[in-house]
Amino acid sequence: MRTRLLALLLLPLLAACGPQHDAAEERVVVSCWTLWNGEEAKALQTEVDRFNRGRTDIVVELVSVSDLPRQLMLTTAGGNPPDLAVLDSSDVAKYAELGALEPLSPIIEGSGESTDGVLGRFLGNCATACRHRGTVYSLPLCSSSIVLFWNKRRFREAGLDPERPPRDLAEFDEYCRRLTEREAQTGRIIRAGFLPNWPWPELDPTSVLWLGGPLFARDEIVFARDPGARRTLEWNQRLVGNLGRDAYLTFQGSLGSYASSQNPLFTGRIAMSFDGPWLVQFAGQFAAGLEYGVAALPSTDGLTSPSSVQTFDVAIVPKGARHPRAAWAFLRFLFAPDLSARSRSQLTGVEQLCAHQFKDSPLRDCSEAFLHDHPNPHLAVFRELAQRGSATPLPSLSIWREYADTIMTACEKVRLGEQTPDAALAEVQGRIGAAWQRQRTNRLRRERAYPPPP
Amino acid sequence: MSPSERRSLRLGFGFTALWIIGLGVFVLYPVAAALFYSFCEYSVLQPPVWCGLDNYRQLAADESFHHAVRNTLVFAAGSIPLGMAVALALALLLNCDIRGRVFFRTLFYLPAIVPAVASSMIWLWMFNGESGLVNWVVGPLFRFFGASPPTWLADPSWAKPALILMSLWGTGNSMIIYLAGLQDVPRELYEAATIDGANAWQRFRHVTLPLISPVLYFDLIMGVIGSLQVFTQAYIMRGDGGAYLPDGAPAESTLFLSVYLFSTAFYRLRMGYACAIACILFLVTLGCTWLVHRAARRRIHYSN
Repeated sequence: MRTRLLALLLLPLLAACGPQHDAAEERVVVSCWTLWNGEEAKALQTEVDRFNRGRTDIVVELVSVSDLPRQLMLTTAGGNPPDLAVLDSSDVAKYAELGALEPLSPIIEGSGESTDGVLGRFLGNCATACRHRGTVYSLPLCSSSIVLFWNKRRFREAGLDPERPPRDLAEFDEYCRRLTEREAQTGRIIRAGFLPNWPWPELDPTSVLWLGGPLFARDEIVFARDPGARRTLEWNQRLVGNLGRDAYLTFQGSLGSYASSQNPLFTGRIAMSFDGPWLVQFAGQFAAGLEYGVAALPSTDGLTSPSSVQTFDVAIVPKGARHPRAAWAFLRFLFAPDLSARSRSQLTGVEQLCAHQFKDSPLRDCSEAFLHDHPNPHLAVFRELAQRGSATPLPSLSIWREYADTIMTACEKVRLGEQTPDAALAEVQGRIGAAWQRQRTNRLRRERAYPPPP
Repeated sequence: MSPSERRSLRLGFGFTALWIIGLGVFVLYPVAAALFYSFCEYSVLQPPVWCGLDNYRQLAADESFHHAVRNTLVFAAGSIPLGMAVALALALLLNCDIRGRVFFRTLFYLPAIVPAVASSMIWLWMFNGESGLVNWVVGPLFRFFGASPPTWLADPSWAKPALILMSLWGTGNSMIIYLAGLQDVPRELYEAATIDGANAWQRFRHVTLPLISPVLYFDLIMGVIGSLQVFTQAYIMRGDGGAYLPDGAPAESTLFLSVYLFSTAFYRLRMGYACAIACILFLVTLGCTWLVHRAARRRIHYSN
C-alpha cells in the first residue's frame, strides 16, 4: 500500500523529467541591453514589442543597464554576455581591439545580405563609424551632432542680431565678450557669454576636432603637432583669461542643474553653448517658449575645419553572444523603417527611436514624416551637417577614453593657469604617445602568444 | 601528540575550516592572482600574456601615477594628524564629567555612520563656491584678509584641503576608541600629578599621552592604511552630480592611487597594470606602517 502511494506521488515527477514539447521553448530569446532609460528606453521597447508581435521564432527582451560598458565587460569576460547591446560609438574601438565584439560581416552575410549593401543605407560618416581597422563591429542607431545653441533674448539685450549667430572664431570671441556681464564693484560674473567646458567637459576633445585637429593620423598620435590642439588650448586660455580665473570658477560653481528649468542657457546665465540635439528636448520640457537658435559651429577663419562633431549610439554584438543571427534579425527590422509613414505616430524602426530622442536618423533615406513631423524643429540643421559631410566623427581609437581624459585634464590646467599651452601639448603627447606605443606592443605580444587561427 | 590532543586539533580545524577556506578563496588567492597579473598584460576579456616587468617600468614613467602617489601622500599627511587631533580633543571633552555627555557622544559619533556616498553628496553642496555652507562660515574671514573665499572642489589648490576637511566627518570612530583609552587611565595618577603641582597641560603631556599611547599608535596605523586607500569621497566629489569628469578633476588634484587603480582596471580595461598599481600601493602602505612602527616603538607605554 505504501509502495503504491509512493509510486503515485512520484509519477508526476517522472513525467516532468521527460522531454518538453512546449513551443515557447523553441523560441530564441535575444537579450538586448541598453544604457538608455526613461523615454528613450520606452521608444526602444515599443520597437521591441512591435518586433515580438506575432513572432514564434525570436523574442527580444530589453534591459536598461546603468554603467553598461562595465557590466558588458564583466559579463563578456564571464562568458554570459547579452546578444545585443546599445553603446556609445566611442567605446567600440576599445572593445573591438580586445576581441570583445563579434564582427558583423559574417552575421550579415549569413542572412543573405551584403555588408556593403547594408552600409550603403547609412549616411557617409555613419558608415565610416561602423568600422574599426576595416572590420564592421557596430551599426549606428542614432546620430547626434554637436552644434551651437544660443539664447536669442540675451543676444537682443546685448544689441546683437538674435537671428545671426557668430560665423567665425573671431566673431565668436567678440560675442563672448559682449554677452558677459559683471558686477561693477566686485567683478563677479553675473552672466557669461560662453563657458568652454559647459555643460560637458567632454567638449574639450570636441573643440580640438572643431578647431581643425585630427588628433590621430597615419597610425600616430599627433597632438603636439596638431594646430587644432594648440588653437584649442590657446582659445581656452584666452576665454578664461578674459573672464578671470577666480570669477570663472565661482561662476561655474553657481550654475543650475542641466536637465532642469535652471539650465543656465534657459535662464540666460549663459548665452551660448555647444550641445547636442537632446537639448532641444530639454528646452521643450523645461523652458517652453524659450527663444533659442541652433546653427553649425562657427568656422575657424578659413582653415579646413568641421562645423560639427558627430557621435552615435550604436548596436554591437558581444563576443560569445548565444544568438547573433537572431540579434541581426532584430537589427535588420530596426533598419527597415516604413518610408511611407505620413505622421509621427506612424514612424517605425530607427526613425521612431531617433524621433523619440530628438536625434537624427543615420539612414540615407528617411520618410517624409521623419523629415517634416520630427519633434526636433531644428532637425534640418543636424541633417544638413550629416549629409554635407561637415560633421567629423570622433576618431576610432582603442585608447580614446584615455586620450579624451588627458585632453580634458590638459585644457583644465591651461584654463586655470596651472600649465602653459606648450607644456600641456608636450604632456598630452608624451602620455598618449606612450599609451599608443604600449597598445601596439601589447597587440604584437598577444599575437605572438596567441597567434590568430589561419 | 596524544590522541586526545590530535582530536582537539582536528576539531579546532574543523570549526575554523570555513574561515580558513574563506581566507584562502577571498583573500589569499586574489592577492596571489593580483601579484601574478601584475607581471602580465591582462584585460579580463582576453587571456593574460606574460610581460615581465613591463608594467612596473611603465609605472616608473607614468606621470599620472606620480601625481596619484603625490596626492595620496599629501592627503595622508594632512588628514592623519588633523583627524587624530580632532578625535582626541573631542574624546578629552567627552571624558569630562558634564551634563548630556551621552547625548554629545552620540552626536559626534553619528556622522561616522552616515554612508560615505550620501555624505559625499552633502559635502559637495557644502563646498559649493557660491552658495555652500562652508563659505558662508569662512567667507567673512577670507574677505577680512582681502581675499575671495575659495571655490574648494573646483579649484586645484583647494580641492585636497577640502577632502582633508571632509575626512574629519569620520572622526567619530577614533573618538570612541580614544574615549575608551582615556577611561582606562587610572585616576590616582592624575591625583598624584595634581598633588605634585602639575597643571592641566602637564597632566595631559606626562600622564594622559603616555598611557593612551597604544591607542594613539593603533589609530595612527589605521589612519595610515585608511588614508592611503582613500577612494569613495574622491570618486564621488570630483563630479558636480551630473557631467562626466576625468579622474582627479580638477586638473588631477584629487587623483588618488585607489581612484587611478579603479579607473585603470574597470574603465581602461588594463587589469594587469592595475594589479601592478595595487602591488605598489601595498608596498607603500607596508613601508609607511613600518616607518610608523619604528618611530613609535620607543614612545609606546603599556600599562603592564
